[in-house]
Amino acid sequence: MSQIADFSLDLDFADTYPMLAALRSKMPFMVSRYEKAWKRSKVFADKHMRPIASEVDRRIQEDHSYLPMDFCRVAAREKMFSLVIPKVIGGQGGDLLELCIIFEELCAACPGLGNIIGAHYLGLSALFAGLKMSVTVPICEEIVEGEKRGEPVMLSAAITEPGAGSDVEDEHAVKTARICTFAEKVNGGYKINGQKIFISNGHLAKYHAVVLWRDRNNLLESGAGFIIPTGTKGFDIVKAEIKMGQLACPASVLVFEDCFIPEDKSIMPMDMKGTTFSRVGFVLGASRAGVGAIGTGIARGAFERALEFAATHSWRGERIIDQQWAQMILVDMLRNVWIGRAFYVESAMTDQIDGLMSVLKSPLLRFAQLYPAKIRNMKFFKKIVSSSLSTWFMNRGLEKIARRRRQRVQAYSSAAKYTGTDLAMENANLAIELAGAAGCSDPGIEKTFRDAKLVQIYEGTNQINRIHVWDNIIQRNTIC
Amino acid sequence: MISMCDEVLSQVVETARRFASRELSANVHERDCYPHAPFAENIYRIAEEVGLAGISLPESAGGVDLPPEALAPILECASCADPGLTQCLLSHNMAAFAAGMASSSWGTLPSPLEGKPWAYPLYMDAYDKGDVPTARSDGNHVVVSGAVPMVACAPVAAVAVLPAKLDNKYILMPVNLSQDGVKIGEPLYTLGMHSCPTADITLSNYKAPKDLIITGNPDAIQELHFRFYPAAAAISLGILHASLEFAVSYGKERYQGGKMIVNHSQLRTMYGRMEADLRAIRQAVWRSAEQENNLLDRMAAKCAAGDAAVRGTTDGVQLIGGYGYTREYPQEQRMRDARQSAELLGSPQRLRLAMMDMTLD
Repeated sequence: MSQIADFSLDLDFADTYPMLAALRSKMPFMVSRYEKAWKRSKVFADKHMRPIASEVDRRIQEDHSYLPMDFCRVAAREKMFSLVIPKVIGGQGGDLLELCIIFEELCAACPGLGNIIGAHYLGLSALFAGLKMSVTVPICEEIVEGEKRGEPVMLSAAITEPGAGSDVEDEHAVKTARICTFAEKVNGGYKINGQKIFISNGHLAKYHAVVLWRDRNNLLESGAGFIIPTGTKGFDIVKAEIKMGQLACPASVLVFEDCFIPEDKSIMPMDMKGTTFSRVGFVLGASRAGVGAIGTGIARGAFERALEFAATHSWRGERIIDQQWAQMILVDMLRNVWIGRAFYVESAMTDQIDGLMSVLKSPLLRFAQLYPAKIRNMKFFKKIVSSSLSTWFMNRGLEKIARRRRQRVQAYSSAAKYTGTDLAMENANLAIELAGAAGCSDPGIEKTFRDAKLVQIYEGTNQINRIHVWDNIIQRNTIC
Repeated sequence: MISMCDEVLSQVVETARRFASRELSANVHERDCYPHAPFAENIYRIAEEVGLAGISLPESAGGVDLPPEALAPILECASCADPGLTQCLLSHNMAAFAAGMASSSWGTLPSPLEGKPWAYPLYMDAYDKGDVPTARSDGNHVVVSGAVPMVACAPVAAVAVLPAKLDNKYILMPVNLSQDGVKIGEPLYTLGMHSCPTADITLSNYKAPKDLIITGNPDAIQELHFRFYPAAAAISLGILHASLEFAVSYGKERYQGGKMIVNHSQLRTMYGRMEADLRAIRQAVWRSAEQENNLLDRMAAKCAAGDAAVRGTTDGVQLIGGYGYTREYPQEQRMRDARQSAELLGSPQRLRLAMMDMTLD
């Protein structure tokens, strides 16, 4: 097989999102925002990710302790960490679909580097789901201020434990989960003991949204959530797992030994039975759409690399791209990308109407946003936004979402997650099938194969997500 | 050709099993770090001492004198423990067997049993060799120039058997890697099979003695690969076997939703597919190894083994969950190794096309 020419693929916004483009005449402002996000993330990925993706991967294979801090600083400078923070607290006011469009672009370039940004938003959605404005607002402001200085202020979400992975993300399974991280009420706050594992961004984040439990005999109703800053006494980030792929994004082990957290750092209501778990559901309802987009991005990256390989190599004296068998593999790969994309768009829109994101777009925040920035930056205004009254309003908004609507969000997000990520793995495999053995030594293609597998596992294995679709849509609507 | 019940073969398979459990099972992860860690030359030497490097060599040359097809059950055992080192054994046995096809003496070449594996481009497809070096006659020699990609064992070998095109015919020739005109590239970072060092080799006016040139019918490469398809398939099967065993033992220890993982029917279907693939394809591989003149059966079995290993080891990681994705557990390596093993002696996708070319044209 020989290499023969350069190659480039150029698809515009309408080729990529035909349905959104078709809505342009009806909702010009919204569509133009999505198009801007798409273009912006494309430029970011081309300029700051593709050139370093293989190098960072190779470097971490040699030195597992290396952290891509330079990339994080660039991402901060390019304001990639405040995309969905409401404008009223200084962010860019983006929505979930905007975020998903960006995830697809970033992960098509490099899933590991893209996941650094993705995991930050998982932490942020846990923070938002708590809706404790006195904690949320200062952290969001710090993120925004950090971006102005080019210093990343990142978050992680810590849910998985050594003995319980998907269990802690499932309402039925959590009752029997082998939990080890507990919060004990002490004077002025809580004492935390236990361990969290596979925490994406653990080594990079300044704040960790930690989900844990208070009563080992009543796990379903005793969940709790805390925001814990790196460096807190009794809290250690002991190691990063050595993984097969997505090496740029560390999967860390967090250890808590008599770690004292003051009462006011609790982000989930501690006095409402079972609330934390429903909040975890809101987080996953939003984040799994994002993982669907990440999977779609990986599937697209695999497609683009395979297409480039086929265009630049020959087999049996003819360019591979000119041979029908290869064209049909490429067509299937593109079809997989389209399926993944259609699913995450549907899921993100469902969440924006019925999920966590609907609260961030609540009339209260929209109204506050109408004030000029000068007023929004005044102390009294910030005090109102982070007040307990504001917290009450926001929580009420979330609690008002009917169970049926929540279940719809969860079913669609689970389906978007397992569809996009299964197709990512399928495309990664097809890319090697098309390239043959050369794909096993092609830095882009072999890396995609390693990177793709992780997304079928995290945010609840794809098997658990299939069960969620059953529970939330088929079972509840079936009479037998 | 061979019988899987052959007594000598049974003894060698038992030896391979013991070798795998004593020597290969430990420190797999360290060996997987090549080129950041050294090649496990000491373990290769032990393989040679117990006879696994000379399976297809004549007794007069210190070998076991079994046909190449006999490697299938042997390499399946070894591959369960370390597919990369098993790949070294395949490379060595193929290269040494090919050299023996031309001459029973090794001429000026080092002996094939001197503690170093011989190199062979194991990922070459016999039905589309791509750009191979070109050779021209020059007295008692042929002069060869060109590049050969992905030569297994190249960075640690003394001898490689490489393809070339001479007068429009494909030939193989043993190449003394310390001779002038040979350049071995840097070790390649490949997806899997890290414990088998791999590199490109470039020849510039390399002079090969004519009496060591290997020709065949219809060509040397196709003839050689025909004999070794079952062995290549067996490497994939070994990886699948190990992945299934590990997933089952983990699934009996780990609980999910209050139940052992193996007791979830959704997951049992995944286990079941691995088990069914393993059993059915093993039969196909062994049967194709036992029969003569069945090229298509051998190619089909190799493709099926590769595809099943890719699918099964991907599920093998999934059944372990997050731990399966870390290097602390062996499943992630199996997934990488399996994907690469499917490409041995030609990609399944292209071999299937070649099969239909043979059937239809």
